[in-house]
Amino acid sequence: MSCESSCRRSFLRQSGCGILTLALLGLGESAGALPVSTVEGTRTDTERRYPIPSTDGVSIDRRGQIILVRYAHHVYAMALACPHENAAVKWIAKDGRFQCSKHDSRYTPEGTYTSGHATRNLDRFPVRREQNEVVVTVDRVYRSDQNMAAWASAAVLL
Amino acid sequence: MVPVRELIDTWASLYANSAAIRSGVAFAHVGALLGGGGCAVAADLWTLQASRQGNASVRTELERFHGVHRIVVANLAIVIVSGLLLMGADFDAYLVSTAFWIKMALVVALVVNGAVLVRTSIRIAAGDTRAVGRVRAVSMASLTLWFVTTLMGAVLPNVL
Repeated sequence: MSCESSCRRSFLRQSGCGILTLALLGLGESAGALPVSTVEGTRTDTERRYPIPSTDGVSIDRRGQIILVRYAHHVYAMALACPHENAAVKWIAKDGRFQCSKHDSRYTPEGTYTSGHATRNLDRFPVRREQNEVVVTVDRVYRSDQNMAAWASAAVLL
Repeated sequence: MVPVRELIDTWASLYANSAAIRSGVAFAHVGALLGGGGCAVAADLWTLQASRQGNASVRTELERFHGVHRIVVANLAIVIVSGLLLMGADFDAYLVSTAFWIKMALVVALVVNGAVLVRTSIRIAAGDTRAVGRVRAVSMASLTLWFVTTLMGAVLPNVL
């Protein structure tokens, strides 16, 4: 009886340590985890220009309130504000997703809504490629609930 | 050795995925602010009232202040630890936030002001009557700092 109880305790202790170690070493991280960095674009009245990100990742322009994502051979420019209550979304690198800092709405790296209080995808800005730059038009925004086709095509194919 | 960035990302993921952790950290931060700040504000108001009634009243009040001071310091420690955990949950955003650094400067000012208050109370206990005037100014500063720091705490999540 006492052996059974001590074996169980030992098993639980060892698995707990194992899970903690795995979490600390990040071995459970998703394959889609992208690095995050801050960026500041060159500004004109209605546009912002950014160098095309050299690798997949998330670049955040806090002054411009723009998220630039290079993911799966595409570059997207999205609004930093969650469409629910305009709180900033944050990038959860380990889980490879965006999450609203206020009510925890969740989005994929492309800005597609997956769960939470929000009712649409992250808003996207029109983007085009000019040589080695991504040009983001900031005086317009595509909402997925109003113009899904424009929202879906607001990307630069690399 | 686990890199710091790795630890921060792991914490951010844990925080983002657990409502219980988010609630616990938020409660620790706000609860300790309520406990520590509430005691400090009450002590400051008593001290200001006593300073109008003369040196003897101030001395009596500052003796009572010693008990309250321990509660304030313990709660402030909880506020700081939970604040670091909140910062780790959205590290990149806080690091470049002007509002965050203003709040940190206010917290430092609050701690320094607390230290000045303790030093002043020691001088008063030793019979230095000139320090009584200073205790009034320090209590006023403490009251202001607690409320302004709380204001910045309310502003911060909305301007990240």
